[in-house]
Amino acid sequence: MEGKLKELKTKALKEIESVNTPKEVENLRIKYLGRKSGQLTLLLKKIPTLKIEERKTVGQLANEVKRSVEEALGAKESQLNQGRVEVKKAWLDVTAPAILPSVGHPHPLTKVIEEAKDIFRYLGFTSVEGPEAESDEYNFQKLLLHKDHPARDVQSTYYLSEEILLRTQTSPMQIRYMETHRPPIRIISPGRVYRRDAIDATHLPGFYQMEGLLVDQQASLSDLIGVLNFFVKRIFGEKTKMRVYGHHFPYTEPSIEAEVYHEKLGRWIEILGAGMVHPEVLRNVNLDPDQFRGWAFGMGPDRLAMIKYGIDDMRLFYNGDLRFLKQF
Amino acid sequence: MLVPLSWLKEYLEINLSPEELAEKLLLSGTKVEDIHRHKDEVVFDLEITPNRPDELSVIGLVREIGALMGQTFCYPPSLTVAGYPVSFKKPLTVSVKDPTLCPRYAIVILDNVEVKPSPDWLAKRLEYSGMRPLNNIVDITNYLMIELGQPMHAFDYDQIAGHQMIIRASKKGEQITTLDGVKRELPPDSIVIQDRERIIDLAGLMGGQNSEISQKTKTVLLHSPIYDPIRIRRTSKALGLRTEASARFEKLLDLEAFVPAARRGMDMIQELAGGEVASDFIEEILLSPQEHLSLELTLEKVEHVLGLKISEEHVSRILNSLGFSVHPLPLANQTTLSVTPPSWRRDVEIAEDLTEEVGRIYGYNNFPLTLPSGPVPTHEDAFRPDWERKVRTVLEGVGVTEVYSHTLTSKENLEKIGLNPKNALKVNNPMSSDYEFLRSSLLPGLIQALSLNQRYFEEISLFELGRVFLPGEKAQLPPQPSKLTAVFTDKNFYQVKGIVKVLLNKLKIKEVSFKPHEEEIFSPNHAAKIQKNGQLLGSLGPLKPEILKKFDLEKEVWSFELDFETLTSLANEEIRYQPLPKYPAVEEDLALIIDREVAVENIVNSAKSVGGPLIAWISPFDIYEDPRLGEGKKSVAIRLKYQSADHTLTDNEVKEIRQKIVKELERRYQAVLRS
Repeated sequence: MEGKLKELKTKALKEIESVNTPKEVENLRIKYLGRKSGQLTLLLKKIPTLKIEERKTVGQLANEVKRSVEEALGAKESQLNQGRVEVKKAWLDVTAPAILPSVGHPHPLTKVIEEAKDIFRYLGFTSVEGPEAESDEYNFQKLLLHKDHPARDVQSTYYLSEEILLRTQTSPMQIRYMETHRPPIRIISPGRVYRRDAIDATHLPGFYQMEGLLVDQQASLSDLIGVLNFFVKRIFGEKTKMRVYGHHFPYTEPSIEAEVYHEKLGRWIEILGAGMVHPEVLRNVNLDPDQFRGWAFGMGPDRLAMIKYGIDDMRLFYNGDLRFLKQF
Repeated sequence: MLVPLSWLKEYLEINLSPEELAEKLLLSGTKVEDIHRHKDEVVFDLEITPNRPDELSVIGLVREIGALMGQTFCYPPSLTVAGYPVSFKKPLTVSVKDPTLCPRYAIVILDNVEVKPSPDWLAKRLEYSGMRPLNNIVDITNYLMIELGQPMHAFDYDQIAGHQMIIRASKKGEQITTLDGVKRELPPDSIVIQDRERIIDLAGLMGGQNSEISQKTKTVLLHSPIYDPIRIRRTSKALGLRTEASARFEKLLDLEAFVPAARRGMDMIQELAGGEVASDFIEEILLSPQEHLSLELTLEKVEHVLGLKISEEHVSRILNSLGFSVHPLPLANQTTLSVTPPSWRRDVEIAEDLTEEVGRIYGYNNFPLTLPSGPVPTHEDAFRPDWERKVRTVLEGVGVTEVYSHTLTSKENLEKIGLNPKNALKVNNPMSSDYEFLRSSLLPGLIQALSLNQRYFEEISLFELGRVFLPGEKAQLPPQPSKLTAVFTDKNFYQVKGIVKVLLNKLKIKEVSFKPHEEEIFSPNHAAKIQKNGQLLGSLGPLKPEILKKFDLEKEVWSFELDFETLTSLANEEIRYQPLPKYPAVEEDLALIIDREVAVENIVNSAKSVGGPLIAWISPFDIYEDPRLGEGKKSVAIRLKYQSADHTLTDNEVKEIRQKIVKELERRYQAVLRS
């Protein structure tokens, strides 16, 4: 028994010394120490069958053999794991070009709209969308632009039929939302709008608009101006200058427009129209203007992106030119 | 509107530079588009909003500027006319068939006038105001229109048959040749003036050629009316004719300016063309005079709407400066003002209109900057995940770039990808044939983008998320579903399917199947429809070579289209943690030779169903065809992972499952296991 143990130890240590992979180490571990049929395990199982006086010495020897085999296996294993990656000695040209993973680019208008959504989400506004093919009733009449209203002139319209048109503004979404939701309301609604204009660098048959609407019992014009000022500073930078002036929209009263100062161009650029929701519009959606007030604004993401990124031709947004899109 | 600065200064001392004045006007709501500098004049180009026809005049602007400078403007003496002698009277009858057509008018006849060119000062002012001088009589009417905002018309009295002026609505098919020599067929219900025999004036738009002032004119009939704005506007739109006069008549004009304007006209004609008054000065109010409405304005209203603390005295001062009369109501329990707008401010109808007057003169840029103080809404929309953003982020991450293309497209573009324009919506009034149809698919825009980019880029991957438009029920809004469409060059089926799979995985849409599918735009035998529980999500395939050719595309293009509403209805944010396995897995590969038409998905499903719960997953990984495999055969390698949640699998257990699977595949698909 003692001889067998010693023999086994010598053999095992020799084999352990000679292997080169962790897999082989593992195989040897099973071969000698495996729970069911490891050679050393089998020998150890025989110890209880020995005479009582032999048991003590054989037992001590067996434990010593087991420990040396385990240690050798462990040492070999860590040695092999350590040596797997060799130190690189050859010179590497770190100025060589990178291999870029393929990444897509968001559209600049998506970027601006998402940024606007984030800013307004901070102020409790949720983004909702409405139909682009819209009825005359929602696009105009419920916003107090009846069929003979002179203000319709500035919104030259594409018609699909007598009563259905391509919306000229996102404002119909105000009506749709107020008809189906009670105040408090805080929404923004970005989307495409259409104007029948001659096409040039700043006029296209379709472009983007983003409506905002707040209705509750506290709304005021100074809140509207405060929110717009906050928005402008968040999207263009904290130092951006904004100014507000009077304007006219049939569906807001008072009505305002806002401009930001474009440092590079050295002039003010109009970015949005806004105002307090006209009491008649509130009545059109069954809200009592003595109880509720609201404000709304409409701004152009195309214009925002042009200012933010210094783009001078709006057509670039819509022709899918990757030389342009890959810059975002 | 063009206005020479010197004209404004005639009525008001303005000690501001043109730029300072322009800024003051802008901030209070009168936009100065441009300032033109001539050698002897500065001309303001103003954009006047449609609610302020009073500002379409020198006097109106002077009143506004006065208020901005804190002054109240009064009519100068030259605008109030004293009585005049009439030695003899020429005959004239005027009848208005319907008082709604022309609720107010003034008429006077001047005899023995001399028609000649206007003096220089007048001609110059007209030119700077954008009007062409013609002769003294016509120029005076134009001059006063710009000065006072009231358009007038001068007729050659001797050309008016029977000396009758009949103001009536036109009938369908009636015609008139206007001053510009154009013969116009009138829409019904236009306002016209006829004499005993014929129509002599297209009222509010342009006079008739047959009664115009000429060199021979000796007697002038000067007419200062107020017409029904809606009829003027409708006729103007129907005829596509817009004049300086119609731009004013179609709005709510000052109901009290027509008399002073006519009297000023009478004066100026006598002064510049000689002549004498040859009739009574007729002024008629056919519809009962508009009550001067008085509005109640509480100080609380001003503060609530504007969000501004402002004194009663300040509110009164602002309103007074704009010509409103203001009286405190003594018995009200809060500060209440009774406010009457001036005759030229017919746009002011409700208390909110007054808050605007206060706000714009107070100066919006002097307002405090506050943020909303009301409750934050908790409607269902606030709980909806932003799937648009999610989808865009995922596609961007796997290398697809977003494009936006035009919603309006050409017939040609639809036809190029085999879409029938008859199944697409068309606008009734296109500007050009390039933007005539509403897209019924996002593909034409995407393919055009590919075609544009192929010169500069290899490996192009593009997507668009946007609405398409389909014909629907008449009188209802057409269906306008959102679609998510992508196109790829230099990619194969497996890669494009991979992108779809990643997207579906990120949206947690599980158990989606890809089934063989035929579609007009795709090459046969290569397209797949994408379904979940029988619900169609979209399709995927290689575009037909004919389509590629029509867009001059040189490379193969794979495309997928997903219905965005279906996609988001199935998308969810549910993530369930799976406990990590406690016992080791056994992995092995099987290589099979099988008929080409046997779908890999069927092999996997069969293997799964006979393999039972100890199969953790099965993944086919090496599929190829080779003549050495035999006619119509392919090789499919599948990787099997066996794992148990409660014990370490023995070789025997694994072997047993493997044999079952192999047997089943042999039985169902005549698969041959390669050694």
